[in-house]
Amino acid sequence: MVSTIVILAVASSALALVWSLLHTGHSKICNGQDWEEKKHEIDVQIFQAILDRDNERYLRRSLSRSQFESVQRKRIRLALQMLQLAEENAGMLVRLGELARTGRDPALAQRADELIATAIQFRLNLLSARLWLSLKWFFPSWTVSVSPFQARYRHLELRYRHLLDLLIGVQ
Amino acid sequence: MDFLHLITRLLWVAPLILQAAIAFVMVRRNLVVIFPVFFGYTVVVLSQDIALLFLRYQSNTYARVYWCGEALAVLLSLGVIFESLKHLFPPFPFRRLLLKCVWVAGALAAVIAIGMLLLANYGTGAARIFEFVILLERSARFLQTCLLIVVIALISRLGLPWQHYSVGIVAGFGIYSALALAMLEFRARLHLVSDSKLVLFNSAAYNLAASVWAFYFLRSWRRTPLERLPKTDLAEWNEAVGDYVDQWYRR
Repeated sequence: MVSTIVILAVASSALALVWSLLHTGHSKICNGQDWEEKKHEIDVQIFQAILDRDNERYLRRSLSRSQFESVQRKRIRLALQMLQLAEENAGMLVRLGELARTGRDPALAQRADELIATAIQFRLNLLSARLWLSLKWFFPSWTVSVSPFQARYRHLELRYRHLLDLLIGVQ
Repeated sequence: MDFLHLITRLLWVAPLILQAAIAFVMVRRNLVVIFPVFFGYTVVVLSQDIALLFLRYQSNTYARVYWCGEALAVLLSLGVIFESLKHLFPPFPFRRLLLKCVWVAGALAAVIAIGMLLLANYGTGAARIFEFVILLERSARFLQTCLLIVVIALISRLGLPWQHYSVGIVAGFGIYSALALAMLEFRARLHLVSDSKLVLFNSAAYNLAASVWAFYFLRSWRRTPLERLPKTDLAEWNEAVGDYVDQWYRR
């Protein structure tokens, strides 16, 4: 019975994914002008400022805990919205890169490949970034102190070096 | 009964016509070099079905051609998934990472598929071999569907171009393998579908897949090549997001 449930779940997931792939994949970007009209104007520096840790520390010091959590959630929501728009821009750029690849200019095709690669890498990074931002949204006061693992690792490294010195000394 | 026979024949012949047209277009547009495995798959299925049309049903030759063709088609269809991936992602270092993800997913799915095959009940008597073959096909389809789920999720997540031939190939296989898998489960485990209905549903699913491939291959995707790329701040965005993510991993 378990295998039946697994198999039917796998089959229906595949069908749903195919449907979403074919249904929502239409892109209306055909040239540079379309890009200029449809791109989202978002500033990367604002994004960096929103997620700046110094700013976060300053807010933490200046506000009460509940105020800080509320402001921090607003900042994270804004960052997530900006990422959404940046992702849409990346999607349009992939389309433009594909169009540039169809041309006969090898240098342009090379740059188009690089652009597509950057866009894909960006989208891969987005997966992790969204995950961390979502965690931060749920736990706005969450700060991770210096990792105990790192400290333990350093201790281990020192012991290893000491052992190595001893062995060399014996030889 | 005659109507059912007519439908069965129609569902058998329609994808033959579509696939012949796809093979012709692939040769004309020099796509054979780009998608050799998919072309091989198309030719194998086409040749198998044409041969079966002229062979006597229930003869040994018919069975041999059918099962050898099926085995080859399943193997080629697994190869097509990796071939499509190669074309979807530009040749940059992260492609290896993505391919590794697909390999890992494939290995996990293969282990589950083998487990299901080993734990299955094959019945007794002469039907035992037939049941085994059906369950083997179900396992192969399970593996194929799992791989396709990962690939389609990657395509959707990374926003790859919808008009790409590879997307059409993957979508077609996605539809067929998912429907075939569900039908095989209904037949082999739940016994809700008779053999004749399984054949009919399987053909209908294959028709859907062939229609998707035909849509992608027969349609001319007229695209005006771009003269130059626009200036973008995508690299800065990538760096900013990458730095943020790194910050977390460093912690």
